[in-house]
Amino acid sequence: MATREAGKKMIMLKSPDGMEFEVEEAVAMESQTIRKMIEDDCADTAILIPNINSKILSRVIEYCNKHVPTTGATGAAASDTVAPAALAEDLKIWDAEFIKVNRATRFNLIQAASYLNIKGLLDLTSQTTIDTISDNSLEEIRSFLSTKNDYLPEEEQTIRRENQWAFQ
Amino acid sequence: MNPICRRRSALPPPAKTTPTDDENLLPEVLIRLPPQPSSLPRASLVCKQWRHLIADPQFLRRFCAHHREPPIIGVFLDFYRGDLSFRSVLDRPDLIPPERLSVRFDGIEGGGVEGNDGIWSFRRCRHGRVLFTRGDHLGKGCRHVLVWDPVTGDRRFIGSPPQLDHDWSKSHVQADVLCVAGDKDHVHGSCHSSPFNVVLVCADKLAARACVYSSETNSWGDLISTDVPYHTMSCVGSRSILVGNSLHWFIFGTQTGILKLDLDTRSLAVVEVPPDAHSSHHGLYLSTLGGGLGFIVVSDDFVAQLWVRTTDFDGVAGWMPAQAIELNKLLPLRPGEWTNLQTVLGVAGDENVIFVSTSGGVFMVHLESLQFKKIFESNPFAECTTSTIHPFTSFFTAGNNMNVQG
Repeated sequence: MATREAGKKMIMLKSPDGMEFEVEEAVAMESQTIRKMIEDDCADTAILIPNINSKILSRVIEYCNKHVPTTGATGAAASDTVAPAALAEDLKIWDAEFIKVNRATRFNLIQAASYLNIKGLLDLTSQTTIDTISDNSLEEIRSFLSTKNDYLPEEEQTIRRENQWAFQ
Repeated sequence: MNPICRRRSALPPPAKTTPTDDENLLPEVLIRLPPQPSSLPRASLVCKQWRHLIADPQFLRRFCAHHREPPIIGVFLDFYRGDLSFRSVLDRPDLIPPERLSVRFDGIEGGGVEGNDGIWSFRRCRHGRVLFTRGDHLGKGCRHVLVWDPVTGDRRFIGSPPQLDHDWSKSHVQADVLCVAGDKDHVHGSCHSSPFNVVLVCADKLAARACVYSSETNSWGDLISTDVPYHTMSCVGSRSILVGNSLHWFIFGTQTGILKLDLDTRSLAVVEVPPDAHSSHHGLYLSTLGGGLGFIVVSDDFVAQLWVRTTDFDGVAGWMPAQAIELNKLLPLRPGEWTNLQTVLGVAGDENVIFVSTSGGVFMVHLESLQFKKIFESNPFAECTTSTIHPFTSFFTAGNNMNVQG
């Protein structure tokens, strides 16, 4: 149930494995999917987040907690003003640490970020994946992403020939 | 509790399990591939699913939108009235060989008989297209226009506007090309099938004229003209810039001014340039570096001074000097290495890069970031100083000419 704690509106998020997370509404609203529910005035209860287990959900909440715009004394969200460079730098360092996770966790985070529509987290997780694979050989990319090469050898040769320079 | 809300207490379940299996998530990841030319061709060889996705126009639009600006993948070297040659400015595997982006003039449908009709002259590249015009044997006038898409190889042959035949056949005609895609999220850089405009412009005594071709209607618009407050030497600068929806060229004569073609109102105007700003210079170039209309004056000691067009509180427009870029201090050169017959090879006003030739090699300097790169060990124009250099920006999509099943 939505509760109040120190003047802040709280909301309950539930993972399918039965864990419950009480978070500030502002934090939960980092997810555009949840924001929409709240703004439509349809989230006056605990929200079940299907297919995102408690381990991943807790990481997502950790991310949102860090990235939620802090509220200034005037009540205006800090995101309305230009964030100081130091704050941005701090977030960057924090993000770099946050994303030091194994492959499976990262994939689950991409999925969660996409599903919950959290742009910053989607950028971070997807870009990190691309950065990991962009300097790799095709074989390494396939192996990293557990993707099978389904080209016939002659098809592969034809595609290589189309842009031979890109494979040198 | 509101019964409608009860239904929303659980979000609907997501579809699949891993990003690479999930056809909704895969584009989310792959749009973040680097914008360099080898990215998409290489990724399309991972598996058929990737290839199909990468060839999808919807994906390409998102890829372009994510990166916002296409990279400079190389330069076109225009050896005056001779060959046009592409040179990559990137390292392997993004180094596209010159022959991949080389133009052919033979077999152009409606293009007349080769050798009988003057020669094709390079005019401009913008938004991934390259424009040539063909005048008389002295290069005057404009009888034909050719628009070439180097990435796809498409060529579009266009006859000159009927108004040109009589009036301007003795003028030096400048020409320009630009993408006019109307969709609001369009990012230039993969504009192959988007509509485009071709603009012809020339100056003659106390007047300047322009004419605009639209690929959508496959026709030339009405003749546009304006008076010029000084005597032109029939000379319109070859490097234009696009600010908003207006093209600008220098127009030289007894004074120097800037010719502005507003493509929305289809009107021409001359913007005055303060004479003292460029009384002595080593090069004068249009630039969008200040975010709007501007020009750069390169001094004899290789300082690039930017001037920007401003409007004061009373709405009166004028010019203000802005930043000065000390190329002489920026580049890692010893004094003797600056001695070169043709030092500044050109400034690309839309991309805001300057090409500087020195005894230590040719450098491409990004005027915004001040990052620079040595792109050639020696000046490619050592024996042809009237030649020009033009950056070519484009995203490079994977070829999709073959039929792969699956």
